[in-house]
Amino acid sequence: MQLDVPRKRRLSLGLTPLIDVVFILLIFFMLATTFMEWREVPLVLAGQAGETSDSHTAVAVVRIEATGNIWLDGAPIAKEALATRLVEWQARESNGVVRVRPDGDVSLQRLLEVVEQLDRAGITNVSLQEE
Amino acid sequence: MRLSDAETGASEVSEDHLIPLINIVFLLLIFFMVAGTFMNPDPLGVEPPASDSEHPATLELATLSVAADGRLALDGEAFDPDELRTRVAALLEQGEGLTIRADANLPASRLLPLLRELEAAGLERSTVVTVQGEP
Repeated sequence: MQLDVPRKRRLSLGLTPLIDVVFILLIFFMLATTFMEWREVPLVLAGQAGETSDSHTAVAVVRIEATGNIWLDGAPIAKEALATRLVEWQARESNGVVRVRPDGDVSLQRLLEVVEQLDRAGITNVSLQEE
Repeated sequence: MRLSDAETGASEVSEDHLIPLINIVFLLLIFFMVAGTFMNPDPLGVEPPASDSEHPATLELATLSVAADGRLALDGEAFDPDELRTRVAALLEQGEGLTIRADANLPASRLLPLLRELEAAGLERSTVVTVQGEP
């Protein structure tokens, strides 16, 4: 009987308030945190410090239309063929600069698709230019 | 005496039952604390573009949100686009970086002047944040 008394006291601390607090913390963290995987795409402007070019470098111009059509140096080109063509081009012109020139109403999503395709193909010196 | 015995017995049983529950709640709590990332709420409702870029984003403390119609917000606080240059320059002076979170539908006619402004304000390298996923 004497043994039972201290045990009762220890339990009388009560776990319920602790559980309440932990639940509140849990709900806070569930609501306040996100699990999206954030990525980033670098965007360099033509003439910016990150770009290396001078008046003698070869320039390939990629124009993006709002409809999604892509023109390489004035000739239409399929989206899938663009990266391979530019890889070949850059193999010849090792200092060549690629200028991406989106039309004014091209969305960021469409622009990034092109920029990122070039980035993944390993093409360096890609920069953006106003039309 | 018998009554109090029964009472202690009852409370012991109920608390014993709660312990596995607490364990799980604690595990969930620690999981959310460790695995989740905090992001500033953004008043403009910006939806970043999707991409499968290979560069994981280095999220800076300051976030510039750009809505598709050109409205701007810095760290969740909307401001006049005319103040962009001074605000960003002040930020960079303090040695802070800037994360640009632009809407997927932002037209290039707004994006490129914005990047020019940021460059003029002293931002050397602009990167936009995207969400991992198929475009």
